[in-house]
Amino acid sequence: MERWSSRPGRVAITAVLVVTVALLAVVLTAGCGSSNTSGTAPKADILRLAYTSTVTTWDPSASYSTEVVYMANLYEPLLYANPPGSTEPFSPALATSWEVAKDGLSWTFHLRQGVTFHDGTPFNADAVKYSIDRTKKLNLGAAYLWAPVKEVQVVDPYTVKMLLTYPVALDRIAAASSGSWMFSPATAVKSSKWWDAGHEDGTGPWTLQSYKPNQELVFVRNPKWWGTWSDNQYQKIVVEIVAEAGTQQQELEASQIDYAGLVARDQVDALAANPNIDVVKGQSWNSYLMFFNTQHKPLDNVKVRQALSYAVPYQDIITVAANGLGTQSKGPVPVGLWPNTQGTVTQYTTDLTKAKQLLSDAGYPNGGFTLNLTYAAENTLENSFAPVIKESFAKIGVKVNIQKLLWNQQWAKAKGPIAQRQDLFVLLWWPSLPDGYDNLNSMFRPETSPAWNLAYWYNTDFDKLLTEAYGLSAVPSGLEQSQQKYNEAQAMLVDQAPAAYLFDAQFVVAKLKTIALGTEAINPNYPQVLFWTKVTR
Amino acid sequence: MTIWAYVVRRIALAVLVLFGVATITFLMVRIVPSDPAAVYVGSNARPEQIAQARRDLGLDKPLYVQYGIYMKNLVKGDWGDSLRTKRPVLNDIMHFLPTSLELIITALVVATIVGVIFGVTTAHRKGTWIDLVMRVFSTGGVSIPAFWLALMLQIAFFRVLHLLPVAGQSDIFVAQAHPITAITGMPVVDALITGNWPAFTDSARHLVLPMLCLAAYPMGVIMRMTRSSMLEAMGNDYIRMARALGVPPRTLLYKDALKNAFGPVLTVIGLTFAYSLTGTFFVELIFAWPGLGYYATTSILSMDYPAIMGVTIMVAAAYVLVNLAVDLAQAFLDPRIALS
Repeated sequence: MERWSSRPGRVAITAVLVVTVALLAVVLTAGCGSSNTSGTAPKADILRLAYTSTVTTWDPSASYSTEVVYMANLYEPLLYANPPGSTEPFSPALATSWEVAKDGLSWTFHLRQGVTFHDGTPFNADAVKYSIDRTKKLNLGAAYLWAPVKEVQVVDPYTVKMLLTYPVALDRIAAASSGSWMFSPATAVKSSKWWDAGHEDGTGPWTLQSYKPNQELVFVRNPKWWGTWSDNQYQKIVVEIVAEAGTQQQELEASQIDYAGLVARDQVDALAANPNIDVVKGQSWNSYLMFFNTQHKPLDNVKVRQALSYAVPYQDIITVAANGLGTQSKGPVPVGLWPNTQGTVTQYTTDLTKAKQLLSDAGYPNGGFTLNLTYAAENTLENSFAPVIKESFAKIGVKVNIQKLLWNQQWAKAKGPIAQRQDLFVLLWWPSLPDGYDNLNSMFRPETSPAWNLAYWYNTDFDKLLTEAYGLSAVPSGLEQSQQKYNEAQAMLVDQAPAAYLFDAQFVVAKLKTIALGTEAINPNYPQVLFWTKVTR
Repeated sequence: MTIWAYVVRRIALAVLVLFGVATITFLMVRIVPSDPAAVYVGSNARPEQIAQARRDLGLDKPLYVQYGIYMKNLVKGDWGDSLRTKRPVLNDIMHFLPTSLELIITALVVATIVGVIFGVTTAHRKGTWIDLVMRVFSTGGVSIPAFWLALMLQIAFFRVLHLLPVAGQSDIFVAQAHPITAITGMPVVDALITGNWPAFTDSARHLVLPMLCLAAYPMGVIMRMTRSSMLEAMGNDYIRMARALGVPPRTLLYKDALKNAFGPVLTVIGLTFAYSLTGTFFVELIFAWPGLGYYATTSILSMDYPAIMGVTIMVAAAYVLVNLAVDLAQAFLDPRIALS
């Protein structure tokens, strides 16, 4: 091709370069690596958080999902459950004192005076009755927790009495992380659409200023809160929804946020090495289990389930998936949560010889069968440890086909036709209230249609023990006997092995060193929650 | 055929296409094993709550009845409520779409300007080192995965050079001190319109990296298409004639040759616009950009079928409309193209 004048080429390149440089100059000089905040509000007043938690509903009666991280700062329950190791199991919140009748069938709560909801409505016994009655009536979310409550009686403006149909530890329910919130009776005329447009009406220390779904939430102090504010607490909380752990990490390293709620386990060491960042770890009630489908052969044979429980590489799982931030479970109730067996029940250890022996006793001397394992694709830890289980099971001749499914698909499959269900179901579980009864009841009790008992394991002796233990725990005098019954029930779960209890995971978050987390800023009884009043400069 | 008859026919075809897309999407999301009622009531729901939600959402009705209801509502502008946000899907889409459009339009504008200029230059300088370098550049743009490019851009401009923010749409301090009044829903545009300069520069800085990431692929495609079209155009007799008559080279290249070479380029731009609507999914996730892609990704991960269907229909509609616009623009640029 003949060569033309080179001028147009030069002009083109020059034009692109000039435009690019000009744009870059305008944009880059505006920031140069740090936030240009000249003329902005005082930085020190704003706490910047990155969460993954979206809001599935703003209705406090229906809320039962990831929005708990916001609800717990907007609303208050009657009681707070204290973190493990505290002198008292509960602290007063909207109730200042409470007592239970000797028969455990009625509870009286004396309410805090001088409290108002965010709309100015006074908090009183009528509001408590309204909140609990509405939650029960809607029967959404965690409403089932209040099922034992037959009636909420208004004794006087600041006293309520709750009458139960059977004795339960109502203090644990009143302190639950969902379904326990008190909200204004003035919202009675509001529809669910009103709530879900981004409205709230609690008594908590924070009020919702603005809500952009999947994007940003802004909260400001409730000036009428009954608690006390100090100068080093924040005025405003801005939450960014950031789904990726890597992005949260980079934003934290750039000081674009003060707190990252999601930290990839394999990045903990790298973050901890950063002189500006603290990695905060601690106890949580999150535990991983693997259900054995007791309706499928050969998992209907208890010896096979025991063999597989011995073949689980517990420590490898913790090392590989959780980067060491966990401990082997001592049963289905995490250590530290009532009524964990506190070491009185023997747990399985990784022992392939025993596993092979048990398989042989069950009529499978060399394994020789295949199992389908499902796990939730969204869970990076499960993604890491599923192959570790597969590899270990292969050593005893058991082949595992791993199916990575979205959580809803994994769950739908487990509830589908019996023949199409999985053999092994990996689950991350946390209780809805500060009571391991929720773990035992939800995952191992008979169900009319499968929901959480994904081993499909039913045992009348276990049911009886659990019912007795729960009833005994309603009054302080019954706790010791209750623990014994619970221990028997959990020993049965270990022996019968409807599931392998893999590990109790620690929580991990990261923050800039410029912010301080008070001792109760993170409380395992309120999963994923950061109590913003406990965060100071 | 008059232009109006052509437009009407194309719109009628578009309706058919959208009907087909809606039907196929409806069937696909229902074939995939999932439980929409369980999604609606959230995690840890009890079986009776899920059963109640199934009745409330009409999921207990036969599939063909559900399909009929969905299509009827769709025509009426009721795209259903998201199972996750509990808000009307159309409202959600209208909330998130402008943010994505800002990203996509700026990426396409940059991709078109750079792609066309580089394409013309490489055609003009065929066989030289400039041609070689720019072709490597365009091949890279087309072949480098978006997520990898995103990470490289973050490392380069944020971690190493400390020049640009790593993610998000704005700096929290700036956004709180200088809130943007929403007019179009596009932060940079709104800040510009309202003269909110601190917010404008801040939003523009946040836009750069995701925009560059999203622009890479269309830029490569546009450049390659421009180059090949220009080479073909420049071999035509009328260009030789024009040159012999002393028409300045720049006029020859950018007015005479490019105008004739621009038809295929325009088609590619239209196609890449539709590509960008879905290509932005990864980019928005990595850069925490709160747009339609982010909404779609979270909807897919939670099997929020009304939202998935809404986004699919929206993208399909955009695809059809952009193609129609491109065809009309081509007819305008080259009257020889028959509208038939």
